[in-house]
Amino acid sequence: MQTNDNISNEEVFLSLKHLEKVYPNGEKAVYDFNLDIAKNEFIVIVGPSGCGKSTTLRMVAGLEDITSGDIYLGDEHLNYKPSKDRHMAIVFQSYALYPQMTVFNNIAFPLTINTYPAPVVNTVLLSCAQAKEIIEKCGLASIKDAIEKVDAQKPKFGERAENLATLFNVVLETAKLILKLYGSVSADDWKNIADKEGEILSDWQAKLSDAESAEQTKITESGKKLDGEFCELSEDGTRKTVQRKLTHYEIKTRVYETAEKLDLAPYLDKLPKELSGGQMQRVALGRAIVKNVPIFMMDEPLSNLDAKLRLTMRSEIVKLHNRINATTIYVTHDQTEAMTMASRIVVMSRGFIQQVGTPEEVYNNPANIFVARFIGSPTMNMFEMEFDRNEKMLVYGDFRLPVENGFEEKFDKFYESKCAEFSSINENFDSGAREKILKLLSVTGEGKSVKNNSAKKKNFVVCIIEFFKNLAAKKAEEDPWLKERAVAAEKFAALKAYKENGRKVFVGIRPERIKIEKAEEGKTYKGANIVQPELTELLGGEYNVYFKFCGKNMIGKIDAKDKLGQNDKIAVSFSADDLFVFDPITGDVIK
Amino acid sequence: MNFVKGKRKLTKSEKHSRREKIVSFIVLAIASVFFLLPLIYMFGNSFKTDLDLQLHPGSLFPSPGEWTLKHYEGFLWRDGKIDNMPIWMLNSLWSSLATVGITLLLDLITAYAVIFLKFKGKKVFMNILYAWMAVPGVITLAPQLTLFNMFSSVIGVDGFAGNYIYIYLWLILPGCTGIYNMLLMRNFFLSIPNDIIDSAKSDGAGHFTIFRKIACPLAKSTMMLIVLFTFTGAWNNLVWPQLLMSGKDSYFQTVTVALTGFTGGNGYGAKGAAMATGVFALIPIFIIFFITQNKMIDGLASTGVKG
Repeated sequence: MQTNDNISNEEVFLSLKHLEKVYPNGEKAVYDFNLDIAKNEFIVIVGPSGCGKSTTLRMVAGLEDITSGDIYLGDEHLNYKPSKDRHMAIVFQSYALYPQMTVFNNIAFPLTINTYPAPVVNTVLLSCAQAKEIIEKCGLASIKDAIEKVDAQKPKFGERAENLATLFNVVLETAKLILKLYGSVSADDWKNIADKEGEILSDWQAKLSDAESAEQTKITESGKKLDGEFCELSEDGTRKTVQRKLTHYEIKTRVYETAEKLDLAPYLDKLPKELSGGQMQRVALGRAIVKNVPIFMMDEPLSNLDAKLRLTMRSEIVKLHNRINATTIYVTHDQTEAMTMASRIVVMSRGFIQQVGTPEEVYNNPANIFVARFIGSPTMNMFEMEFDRNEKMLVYGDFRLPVENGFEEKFDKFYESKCAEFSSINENFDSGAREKILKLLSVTGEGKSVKNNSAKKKNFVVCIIEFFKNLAAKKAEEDPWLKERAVAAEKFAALKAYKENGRKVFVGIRPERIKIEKAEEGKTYKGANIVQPELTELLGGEYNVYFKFCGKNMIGKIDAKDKLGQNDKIAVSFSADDLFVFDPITGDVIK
Repeated sequence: MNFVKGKRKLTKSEKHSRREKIVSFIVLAIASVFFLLPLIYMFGNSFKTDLDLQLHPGSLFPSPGEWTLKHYEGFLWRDGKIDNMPIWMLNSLWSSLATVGITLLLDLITAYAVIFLKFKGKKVFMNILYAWMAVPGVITLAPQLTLFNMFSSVIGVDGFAGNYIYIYLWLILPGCTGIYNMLLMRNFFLSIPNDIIDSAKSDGAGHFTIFRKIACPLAKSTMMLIVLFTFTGAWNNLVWPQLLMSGKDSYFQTVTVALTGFTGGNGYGAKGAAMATGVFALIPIFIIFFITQNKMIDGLASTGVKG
């Protein structure tokens, strides 16, 4: 599989190896998913609905059991870790906000229930030092101003110290200490502060020094060691840490920070039901970033938003991704989102990875017919042509296209290798071979109903009837892979026939690569066919033109500068460089 | 356009809906008379004097000037000591509240486990519960009573306190096993979107945290409903406590059991007291109803999720 081409081994950050998922009812949702993800990549998994992309994401997030395969984050094996220990945050399509909590509590939720490692800080010494610093720097008058400013906002109980701490950018204990000192000075003294300033200051300094020295003696008695920032040291000289819950003040500052980032500050007291869709999604994003984890996962986060908002949120998510240096895995069914946001795209269909690559690679070199059809809007035009070996032309009726040199060689080589592959599949039809056949079907889109019938849910009565039927008939054991075997044999036969006198190919061309000009009366266009458009859609800057070309329905694009009227004709031509040629049997790209 | 002042002609659908309203109002009014009349009769007659009760048994309210609180006074204080009535009320009250509490806890835990946990035999467990719903409660009365007596003699329940605790244990615990309430809870938990639970899991919440911080707060309205159902059920319960308390100390009785004392043969003639007891017995039910009914309005569960 062509998955690990793009990044070298050292860069691998998150590694998914041979991930598979089989649901309890026997249905296999994901086949052999391999992907190495480097740091700061924006991976978009894209595919039609039901292709297993969300299942993959949920397996990585730890919300779904992994049937087989491994997930590594760095060197850490994640398979059996619970979701919360995987250093990941997930954003859902439905936002999944907790309806009974306010926006603040929603964002704070992960912080309130988890414990985090933190250094053991001696708060008494720290606060004394910080308080001294503030007193020296600001002086009495400005401290008084600051406290009065805080009081003017009429803080609720407990908020006074918190607001002051935010104002001075110090820890909560320092703010409390300053408030205590402030309260110890009588109102009369504050009035004639100019006379008493020196007195008050020396009094405060003395009080702080007393507290400091008392704490110092306590520490020396207990034999603890502290470093310059008043963190306790363990015996080997490193900082001691404890797992502890965050304090109310710490949570508050972190939530406010996050809310600022996402412009959610005005809505912190609201309930989710009072918000619009975009705001709800921002809250969900906020809940993800507040956790401060390296990996973000998003499961179609924009699907519920209206078109305009989707565009804004799209760019905002990418900006956010860049700003916080995150690694993101993003699941969507919208190829436009994939193309615009991704640093690498993973295209999936029916549980199989079809192609992994940068948006340019996926767009310019699709690996097979499925990727070619799925990526790009409007969809790539596909039509059947014959390959004329003698004239080195692609032929369809009167329409002829020359092929480049070396195409014939490629063509032969392709069929040779495919024949070899299929003969080995047919000879030894094991589960691996079966999966190859299933993948082939996922590319061509044939045989959607290839499933084990036994996996289907039956009702009780049917079960009983079948049981008796089986008793009576004693049926020979049915081959569960019957259909796949048949497909393999059929494909092999077709390939062999093609190898000998191969003719038919699928030719694809992107609508934006078809050269279309407005045809004017009396002018001749060399190498171009003049056709009458069946329908034109004005998109503003350009037209989508639907026309019949040699009896095939095709779409093209033309600049809207020249107005295209009802009866205007267009001149259509291709260049052979822009063509993609696919094998009609396996759907893989030949050129 | 003509802007004619005054009443506008009603459209057909408006006429229709108005007619529907009138008809339903009339039907409900008639129905409520049947329900309310006994209540009003009980309330009015509890204020009648004994003589008035004898002379005018048919009137709803006491004759003018004949109002009395005699029947109520007798409850609280009689012959220089506390009467039985407050004790019966307390008995009923605490046992009903205990039933409500235990039922809520059991229902929440069971429903949570059935919906959000994976365990073997979940289907079998649920099927047994469903089957259990089909068994009428009356059927189990006799075996229960036999067990009650058997255990009592095996353990050797003795003395006033011992008997009291033993009887109330048997009164409360079987009342907590209602499956209907559990299914109510289960259906509510089913309606909580899976994404919310998943997102809580990835936020680091264990099952206990999810239960306490997400599932239970969301289930408030269903909990209120269960409180109302269970409380009224436990309060009105008559047959089972009567069986347990027959032949036991009169202090053990609940209000409903005590009420039968007034309607039975030996209580004949104490009609006023019976009415007053009935009024008393209604008070807690009314209180519970007024607390819970406003909060039963649903509409929290799905608002945080758009889908």
